[in-house]
Amino acid sequence: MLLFVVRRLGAAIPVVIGITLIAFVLVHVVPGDPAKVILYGANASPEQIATLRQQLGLDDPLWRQYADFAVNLVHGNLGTSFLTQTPVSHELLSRAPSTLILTATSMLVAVLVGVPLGLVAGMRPGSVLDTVARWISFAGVAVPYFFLALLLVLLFSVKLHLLSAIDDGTAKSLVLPAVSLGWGYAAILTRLVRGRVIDELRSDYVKSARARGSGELRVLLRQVLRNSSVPAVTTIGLQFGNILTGAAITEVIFGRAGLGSFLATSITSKNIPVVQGAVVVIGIAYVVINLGVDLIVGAIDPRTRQEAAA
Amino acid sequence: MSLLEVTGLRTEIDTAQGRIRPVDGVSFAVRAGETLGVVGESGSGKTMTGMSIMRLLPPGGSITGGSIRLDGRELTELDEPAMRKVRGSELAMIFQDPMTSLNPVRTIGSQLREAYRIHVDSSRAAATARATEVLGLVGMPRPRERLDDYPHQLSGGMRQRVMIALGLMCDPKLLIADEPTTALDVSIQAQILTLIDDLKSQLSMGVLLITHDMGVISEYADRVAVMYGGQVVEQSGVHELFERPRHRYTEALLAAMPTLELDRNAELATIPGSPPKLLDLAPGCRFAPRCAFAQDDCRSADPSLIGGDHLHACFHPADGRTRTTAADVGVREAAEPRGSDSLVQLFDVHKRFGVRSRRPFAPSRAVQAVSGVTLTIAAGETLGIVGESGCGKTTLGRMLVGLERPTSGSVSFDGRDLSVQSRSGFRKRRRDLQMMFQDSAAALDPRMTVAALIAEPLVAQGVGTRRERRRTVAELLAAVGLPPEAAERYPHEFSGGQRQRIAMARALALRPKVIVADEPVSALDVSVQAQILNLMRSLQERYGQTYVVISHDLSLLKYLADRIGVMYLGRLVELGAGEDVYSAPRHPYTAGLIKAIPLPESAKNREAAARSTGLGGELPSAIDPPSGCHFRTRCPLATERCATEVPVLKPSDGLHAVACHHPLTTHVLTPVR
Amino acid sequence: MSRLKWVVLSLAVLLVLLLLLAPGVLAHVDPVATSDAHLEGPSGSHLFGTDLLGRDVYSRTVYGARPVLVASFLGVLLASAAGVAIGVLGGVAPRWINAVVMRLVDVFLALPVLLIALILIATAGSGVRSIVLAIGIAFTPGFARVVESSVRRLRKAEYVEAARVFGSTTLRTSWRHLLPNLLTEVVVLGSSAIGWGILTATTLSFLGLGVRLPAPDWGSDLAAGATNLADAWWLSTFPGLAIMATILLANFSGDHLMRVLDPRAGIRFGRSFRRLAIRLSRHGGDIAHESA
Repeated sequence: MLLFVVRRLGAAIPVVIGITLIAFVLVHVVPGDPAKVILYGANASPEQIATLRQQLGLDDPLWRQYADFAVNLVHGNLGTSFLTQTPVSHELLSRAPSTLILTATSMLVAVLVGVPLGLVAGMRPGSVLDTVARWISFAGVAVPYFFLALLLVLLFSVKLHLLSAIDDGTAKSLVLPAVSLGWGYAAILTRLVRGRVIDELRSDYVKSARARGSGELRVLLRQVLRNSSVPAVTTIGLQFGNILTGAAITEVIFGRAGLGSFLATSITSKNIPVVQGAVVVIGIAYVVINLGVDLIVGAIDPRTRQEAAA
Repeated sequence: MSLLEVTGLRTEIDTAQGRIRPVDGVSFAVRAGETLGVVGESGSGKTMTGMSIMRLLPPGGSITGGSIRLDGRELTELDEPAMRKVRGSELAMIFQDPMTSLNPVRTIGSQLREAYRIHVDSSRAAATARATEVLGLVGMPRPRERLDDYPHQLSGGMRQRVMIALGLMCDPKLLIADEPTTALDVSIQAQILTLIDDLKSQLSMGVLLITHDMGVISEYADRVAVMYGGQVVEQSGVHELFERPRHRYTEALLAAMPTLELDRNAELATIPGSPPKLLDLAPGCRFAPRCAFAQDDCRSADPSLIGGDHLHACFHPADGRTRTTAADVGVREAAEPRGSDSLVQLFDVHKRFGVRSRRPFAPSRAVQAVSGVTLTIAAGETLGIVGESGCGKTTLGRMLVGLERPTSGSVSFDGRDLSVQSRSGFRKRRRDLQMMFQDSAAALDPRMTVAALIAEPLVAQGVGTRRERRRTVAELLAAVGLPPEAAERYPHEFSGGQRQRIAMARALALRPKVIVADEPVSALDVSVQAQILNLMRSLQERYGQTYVVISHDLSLLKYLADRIGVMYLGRLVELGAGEDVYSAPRHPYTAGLIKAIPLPESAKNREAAARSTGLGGELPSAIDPPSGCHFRTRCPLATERCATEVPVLKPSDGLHAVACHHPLTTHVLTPVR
Repeated sequence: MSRLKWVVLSLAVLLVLLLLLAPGVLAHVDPVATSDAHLEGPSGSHLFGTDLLGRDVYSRTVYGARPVLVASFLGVLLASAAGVAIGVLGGVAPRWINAVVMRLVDVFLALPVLLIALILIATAGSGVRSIVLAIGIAFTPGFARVVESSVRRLRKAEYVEAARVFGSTTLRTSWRHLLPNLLTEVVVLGSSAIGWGILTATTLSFLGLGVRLPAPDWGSDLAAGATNLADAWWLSTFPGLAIMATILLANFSGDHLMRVLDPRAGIRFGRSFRRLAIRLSRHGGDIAHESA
């Protein structure tokens, strides 16, 4: 198991380095001189711009700039926001928790709805329940979360007055955004789990478990559940980045404070250090989460441990 | 009274194509302490019969008639919860593929404990104790430690032992074994079947042994039921059946098997066509369309099972005195002496595959697939290469046709070393070296028509005009016995045997001098096998190509091959004329292998065969093979010399060569213990 | 294959073509023309009602299809072309090149689609062309991954080895065996990815990064209607339903294509395909389907 962890870590390191490289390259891809952006509106003289360029190290050779950038990263320093002149790490950290909570809650909705639905549907393919589940998942994949958000607000908040659409800091106000975002992913999980359960139920080891007198419930819980949860776990990990950005947009729709509006303004105002910081943080978070997913899958299915170690 | 009595059992399944009846009026009985063999080809209903007894039918399937009595209790009347109690406690079943029949994500111990605690109210500790006990019973070394292993950590043979243990946890009365050894090597097969046989008498269970293999039946069954098209067509004691088959199908099936006794020069008896599909069955005997003795009555009425101890359902049975020997069916002209011009030479060929090390930074290790094979193949001969899985026979074949390059050593064809040829020169050479793959379904591109597939080698080599190629295709189709219409169809529209004919035609398209055939018939039913084997031989007579046939099946090679090479863990350990290797094996491994093969002949002299398990133990890893002679860890004759000195292949008498420090000398099969 | 499904599918394709090429055939009112009928509900004269400026919502919905469809079709086309190129390179190249290329793909896979798209739009400016580029780039790694493993699998297929045995050149083998089988998978994958392309395109235009107002566009119209949600439900609902219907249609066609293109090996193909699809779902989302 230790070996497995080491291998997976080894595979992740080049990806992390690659992410920092991309973030670094961003500065040079985005048109416009960062120094001009910072001094925008200040009617800066060419001398002022040149001084700032030097301060920012923009005149150093590229490798030198990257080295500085990387050293700073290792120290947790993501640079300084062009606009507010405060450390990017502070800006991101102060806004991240609310977005992460929404991301996690949406994932929870996806798992709590998708996995049971997939299990039940896969157990009896062709049954009424299965047909319902398939329609739900078919429609779920197709409905955009920003549209679903509006529909839910219209129904539960405007018409029925059941749930608040506005963030009042309670868990209740989290329900609508989390459901709108989680629903689509629940649909994906339903399909994956359903397909896997159908496969597993046809497998030889299930046949032989039945031959030993296992009832259907026992077959499902003791034999099939663990195998079928693998695609759900993997998918959630792979979708983490998309759910996170989805959460940022959902925040904007529901007027919640968080990374969403901050990132949007940063991107449109070409506040490069913030964008850089976001790329690095989100990319590394993705890598870390998927490392965790690999470990969970390794714990569920011993064969993957061996494959990875072999 | 019998333990299990099945009477008039009928099972029907609703499929997308319509309702089929895979089990149609089947009756038989199994006594305690007895093994009833159920034998049949694919689609005979043998597996469905087993599944009906367990009542584990596929969706849409149900038992529609007849009775199943276990120890006097009628199983068909039980409701599902009651039936569930019977499964695993009174009835146990093991399946064909031990690789997939165990849950990969749970430990052996947890699965064994569960099997016990479903039926017996016991503590975890008691279940663990029982699991250890039963694992010991099935011959698992150090059972206690194995409990924490996952299935993928065990070999196929060991997994099948675990499957048997799972079945035995609650002391069942009847064990249904559905092709329990089909996925295993011959030497492991013998171990597992012997184990089942021992357990049967030890626990006085009844055993229902379902198999397609007449050899297995002859050695391990007490009585036999032969199934065809969902019905039992013949049923008798095992001796009786092999001595005096009555049903024409049984008779033909036995004649179609290449056996040790069979004269090499005789053509195999074939059964035309293939086993019936269970849809739209015509009235009358189901074998009638393929039967040489069928009369009008066979096509109009369904014969019923008659006769006292030896039941058979045939209007025109064999006279019951002598078995039709192959010689009666037709004798080929005695083979002309083969040319002795050497065509292909292998000199000290090695092939290593790198395996990434488990530990980071450790040097990568290598699997030595083939190590030091030196061999000459003469023009026009048929060379058989035999060995168990992992012995390197397939890699050797792939090197012959240039699919792999040897790590060291040389393969030369017509005196020219293939490895030093330029790419285009080598591509030209390929005209002479063709290959027939084991799985023709995978080797034929599904999106091409048969005509395009057969013409493909010609196109690739730029041979002939479009019209000439079309003519060649038509000619080849006729040569392999396929109708001209086949040309415009796609491979998936054909049966396995027909696809192998297409593969044969394609291999022949360039008129190669050598065809390497990797397990050419292992995926086919016995009756279809014979057709392909005869075809291979007749095509050789016609076109004169050299065959290298790679197979795990010794009796097949003995029939087909002029010379046989035996491989063990990458090395050629014995090489000689087929007859000699068989009747007087020199290498202890060859002797053990021959011993392990269950053969119909042994039904007659079972006492003499003495149920020697042939080979003990399992194949060592090819990553760290034993020093010296690779076989020494399983060899009864091994000495210290065998551990230090690698035996070389040298002629022991005439052309018969062996790589052993202590070759067997007697011309009788020496019992290996 | 049932005839009804074919009829439905061809009608749908016809509709898509109409929306793309000649929306005027379906709607006669100018989508940007304002009138005095402000915020009127659906009626005979205005099928989907009117918006704040009195513009016809039906007409805007019909005309709004074009930017979305163009962006997602072209974007996915771009992504599949680039993905096939990278994937084939990774699949046939020696090990070290494969390692470099695939690590790079992994890096891009670690970044969410929308983040890549947003950065790109920040660089290149908003508009349909940027969205096409954004979808193209953001979806490429997903395609590359799937294609790479397909190529690896297909190269080991026995019929490819068989072609080597009778001396088929690498070029010929790739052309005759690898490519046709690979393209089947890419077509199926691409048709499913279009659903995700539509989702991405509308999300971006929802954020105001699509067409320039007042041109009609499902995403921006949906966003614009959100402010009047309580008293004019039709403003957002019709563009939203249009998005949903289009994604459904794309997914349905993807399912269908998968079965039609390889009916023979439905299950076998489906299974390995599902595994691959999980990979793609990193970016493209779920195109994994039950093969039942």
